[in-house]
Amino acid sequence: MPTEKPDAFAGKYWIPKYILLFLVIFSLLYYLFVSNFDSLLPYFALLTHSVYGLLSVFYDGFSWEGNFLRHPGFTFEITRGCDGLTSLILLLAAIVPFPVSFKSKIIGLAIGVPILLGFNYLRILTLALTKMHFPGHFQTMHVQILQPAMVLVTFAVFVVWLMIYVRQSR
Amino acid sequence: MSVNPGKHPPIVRFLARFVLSISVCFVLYHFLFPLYALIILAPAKSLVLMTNENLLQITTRPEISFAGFLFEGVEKVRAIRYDAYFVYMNLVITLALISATPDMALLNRIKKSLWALLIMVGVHCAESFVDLAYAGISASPDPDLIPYSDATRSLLFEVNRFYAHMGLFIIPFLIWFLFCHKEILGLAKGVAKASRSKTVGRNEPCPCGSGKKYKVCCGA
Repeated sequence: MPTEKPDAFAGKYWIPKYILLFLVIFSLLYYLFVSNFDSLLPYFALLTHSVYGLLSVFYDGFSWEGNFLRHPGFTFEITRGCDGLTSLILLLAAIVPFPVSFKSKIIGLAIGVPILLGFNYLRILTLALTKMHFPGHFQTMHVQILQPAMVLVTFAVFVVWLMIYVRQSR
Repeated sequence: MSVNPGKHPPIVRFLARFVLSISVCFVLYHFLFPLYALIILAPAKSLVLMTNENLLQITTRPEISFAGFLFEGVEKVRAIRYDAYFVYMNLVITLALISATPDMALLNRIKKSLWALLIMVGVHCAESFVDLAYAGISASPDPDLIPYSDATRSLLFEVNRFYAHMGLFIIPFLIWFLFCHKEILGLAKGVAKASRSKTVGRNEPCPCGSGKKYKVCCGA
């Protein structure tokens, strides 16, 4: 088990230091995120292909091209905002500067990142199915339910990491 | 049979409280949204009208994400960047996070929630101003009439883009951390005071999970 210094949080300035580091990491990752759209295209294509792969097992008529998922009734574009990367940015920026051991951070990210990407995959899948079966509810599902749900899962992952892993490792 | 909340692990209590808080806040938000949007958009519209002298009137319809811009003799309708219902939703997330954070007295929780609400109102006013100002630029019938410099325009665009991608994440996190850092720290340190539960005896194992007796651990 990793050993934490008992006074890791005792320093007077750990809060401003944490917030400053959080903002620096967050800004850096955000800059990379918005300025490298083209380099994210393979990831979007992979996401689209994997959603197509699962849907085509159960439904006929689906096809995919790049980051477009097509069905006779609709076309579905997976683009920035549908990628779950914004959640990853928050999780990374929240965990990396937290004053715990390197191993704790790695474990937090190793568990948190797949959870967020997995939830995002489910979100895209749900949206595709909503578009297919309940097109009238797509916008509500997209904007008002699944986006906030993604945020909630991100916060939940962070808190669970604090409560289960960091806490036990101390 | 009654359930003693002190007997559930802290993580279960947190998650249950989180889901309950978000549901309650969301229902309240759903019904209060028209009033909230009215409060937020009034100063934002005045500010846009003050800074863009070519605009005569702005009519907002937040429920369908549209704003009408009346220039001299020309009326244009433009979509606001995002659904206002969605944009203001980070308020719900912030309040739910504060409500769900363990080990806080009720009065303290209410005080922090009110401060958070006040900050969120300010943030939403600023964001609505940026949103409307940017929509006003794209609605302008003559680009020469736009009073903002190129630098201001790109700043408005960048702020808008940042908020669109990250507003739902970073603002609740920062406010939550600023107001509840002691409690968040408590979660990490394992001193989350399940000790506040009156049911823990002095000689019973400490609910923080240290394995020590309560009297020599959190109850000391």
